[in-house]
Amino acid sequence: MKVLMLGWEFPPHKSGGLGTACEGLTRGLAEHSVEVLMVVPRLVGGEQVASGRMLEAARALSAAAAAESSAAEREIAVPVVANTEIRGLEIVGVASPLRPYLDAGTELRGGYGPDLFREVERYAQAAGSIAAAERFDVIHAHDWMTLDAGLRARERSGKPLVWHVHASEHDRNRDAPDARIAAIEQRGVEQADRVVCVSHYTATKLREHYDAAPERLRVVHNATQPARDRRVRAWRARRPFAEPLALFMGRVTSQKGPDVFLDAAARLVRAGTPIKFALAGDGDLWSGCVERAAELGLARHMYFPGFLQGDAVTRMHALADLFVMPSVSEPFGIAPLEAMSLGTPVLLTRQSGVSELVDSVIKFDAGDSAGLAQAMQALAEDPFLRSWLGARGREEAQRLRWGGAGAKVADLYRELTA
Amino acid sequence: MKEIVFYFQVHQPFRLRRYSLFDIGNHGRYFDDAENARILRRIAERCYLPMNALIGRLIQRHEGEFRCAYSISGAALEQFELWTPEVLESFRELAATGCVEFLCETSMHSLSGLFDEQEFVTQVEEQRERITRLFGAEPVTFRNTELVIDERVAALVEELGFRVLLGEGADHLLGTRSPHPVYRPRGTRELRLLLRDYKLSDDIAFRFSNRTWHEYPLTADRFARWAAAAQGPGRCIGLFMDYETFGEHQWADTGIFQFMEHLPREILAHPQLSFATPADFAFDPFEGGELAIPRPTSWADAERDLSAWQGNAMQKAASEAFWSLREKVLRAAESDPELLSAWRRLSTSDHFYYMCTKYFSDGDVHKYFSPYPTPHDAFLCFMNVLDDLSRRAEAVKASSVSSPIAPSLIAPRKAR
Repeated sequence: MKVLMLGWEFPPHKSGGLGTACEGLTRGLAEHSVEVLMVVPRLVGGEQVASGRMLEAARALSAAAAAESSAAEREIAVPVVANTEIRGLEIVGVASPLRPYLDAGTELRGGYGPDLFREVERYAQAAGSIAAAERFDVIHAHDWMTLDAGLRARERSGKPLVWHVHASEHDRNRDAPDARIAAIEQRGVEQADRVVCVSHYTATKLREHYDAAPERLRVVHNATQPARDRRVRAWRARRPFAEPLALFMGRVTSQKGPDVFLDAAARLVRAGTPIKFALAGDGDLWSGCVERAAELGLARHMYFPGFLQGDAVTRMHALADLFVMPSVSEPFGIAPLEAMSLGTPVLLTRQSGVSELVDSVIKFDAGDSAGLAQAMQALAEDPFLRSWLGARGREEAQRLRWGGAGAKVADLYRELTA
Repeated sequence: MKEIVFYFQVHQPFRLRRYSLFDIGNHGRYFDDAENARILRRIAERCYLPMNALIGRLIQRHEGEFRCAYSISGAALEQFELWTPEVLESFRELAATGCVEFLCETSMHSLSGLFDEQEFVTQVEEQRERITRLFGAEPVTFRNTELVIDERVAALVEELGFRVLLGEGADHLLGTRSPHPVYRPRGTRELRLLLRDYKLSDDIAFRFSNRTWHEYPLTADRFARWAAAAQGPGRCIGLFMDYETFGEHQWADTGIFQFMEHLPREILAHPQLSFATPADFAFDPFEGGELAIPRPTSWADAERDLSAWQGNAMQKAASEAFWSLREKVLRAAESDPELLSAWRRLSTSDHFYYMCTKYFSDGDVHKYFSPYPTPHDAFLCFMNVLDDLSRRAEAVKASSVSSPIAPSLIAPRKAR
């Protein structure tokens, strides 16, 4: 079984959970004898592929345009390092300068939109020619950016298309969803052979907004990888903070609820609770949050380490005593699983896919900063409660491995190709 | 009869490295030595060395008729000693001509005058000693950081024994009055306040190289004619500006050095004009009478107020966090004096200026001077450093909680 997988980001160069989920899924599929040919917009270097090869599909595009020959793609194949962890994975890059996530009001409605849609179209073209040149059994596209690429690849190859929804436009921009993106998602729901949702929460959204047929929807929850314990222990040992540190890590956009984190933090600081906060990530609300923190009297209590990637993410997790995901609407939410697998107690909103999967966390409702503050205070003041919840969460997260998700997806492939 | 009073401000902050959350608790290397050395060397080459050589030639050529004043912050003097001792040497050579006055300020170019009287006195005394030691004469003129003055600062300056104070000739202070007479700040008895003629100063400092300015290009003879045309009471035309105007803010190819080369001759060609330094006014009558300065005035931006350093919530929060740390640092400095010197370097006003979010016409200026991509980054970096410094001070305190505090280290030095 070989899958042509169409992604938009891949670790370590990612800006959200999508890349993490894609990488995890490819690992999970490898455990079930599925070979993956991964196509991503652009390879920056450092993507951890073990066995396989990488294709620069941007060059493939221009070569194809020049020679009308898809054979060119093969010739520019770049072998990737041996010592593979993910067997049977190939990655193909398509040059694209754009980020996958559209922060409300900035990229999309500010005039960059046309460029993003052009990149999506270029990516679809590249996928079309790759589909013509490669051999595979099934196509798997992730989120709206790659849907048209998936449809194009199906057209060229006649193979079935699985569309994987990690987030819908109605999660990203609740108040003002972009009509063009919603139209693409509508098309995905109608035309893909199967739609994989990362949670029941997301499946419900697709039924609500796009009238998706239940029999074509499948829920496959995301999972997590085992934590790299030794370094985490070393980093934890060197932490300079006597007081506990509560961490928010994610894009700083309204969807993620950073304002609730700030508000809850201000309540704790006003109450004199000894606790520090870190708001890690970047996004259109970042500078506003920094200013707001200063206004709320949080200047000496909240850190803003910015966008972190690679080791810095793990290092940040290692410093944290609490992990908070206050998302307003979260299709899944993979970061809390990472925190749990490190033994960090987690607080998350019920309006998230991950909350239907885990029990050993504290759940609160989106927007309820008073409730969040209360829970954080209880945990901040009670180290035993923290370690108890952390240990329970860790056990729970350890059971959520990518192999399980891979099995479900592999079954789906077999069902479609049978 | 009018006197042209040139005062050049020489200042370089100890810029911070990008100190992150992950640095806190791990090391106390807050300052970016390599970057500071690089900038000092660049500016020495473009501005300080060629301009000092030019001033030296002008003094010689005009046989004492050309005179000017400098205020060099302690932060700049320390960095000259560290990275470019030849610059310090060339200033000492200028001092030896007797035609150059060196003013006093706060050693770390701080806004301590507004926030902490004891710290202000300490920094002024430190700077007074350093200037006297390096340039051989005790300063009689004081200029506060960014020309920030109010009546309290003026009274303090008089109490510290200075006879002349410099200030901004801001419209909101003067109304229709001229900036040229000597004023007495309300609440002082013998303190001469000389004001900056912002129109003529900014013709050189800001507009000189502006090609869209209707007077462009400005020539020395035309500028001298403008100065000679000054009417009304008072005899001090204060041309106060950053020294880096010459060669750094206005590059050499704008012709700024040639302008300065010819200016003294053109000025002295007018019989009613000559050059003086602020100390020459130390015994002048108060021709302008008393001047009320009810709220702090500075030379910065269009507002001429404190908004460049205190205009937003980040700046206010950073200031509050910074100044409230002083007592703790002073106590800890008994066993770890480096903490105090680091804290003093953080008092430099530039750190707060970088956090300014006034992105209107003045925002460009702020951006030009900032080593940070955004004011928010400046704020966060400063707060991280402060966090580490505070933790170190706390650690010292905890480890020496029983030892008595030496009074000499915490008491401010006695005012003269």
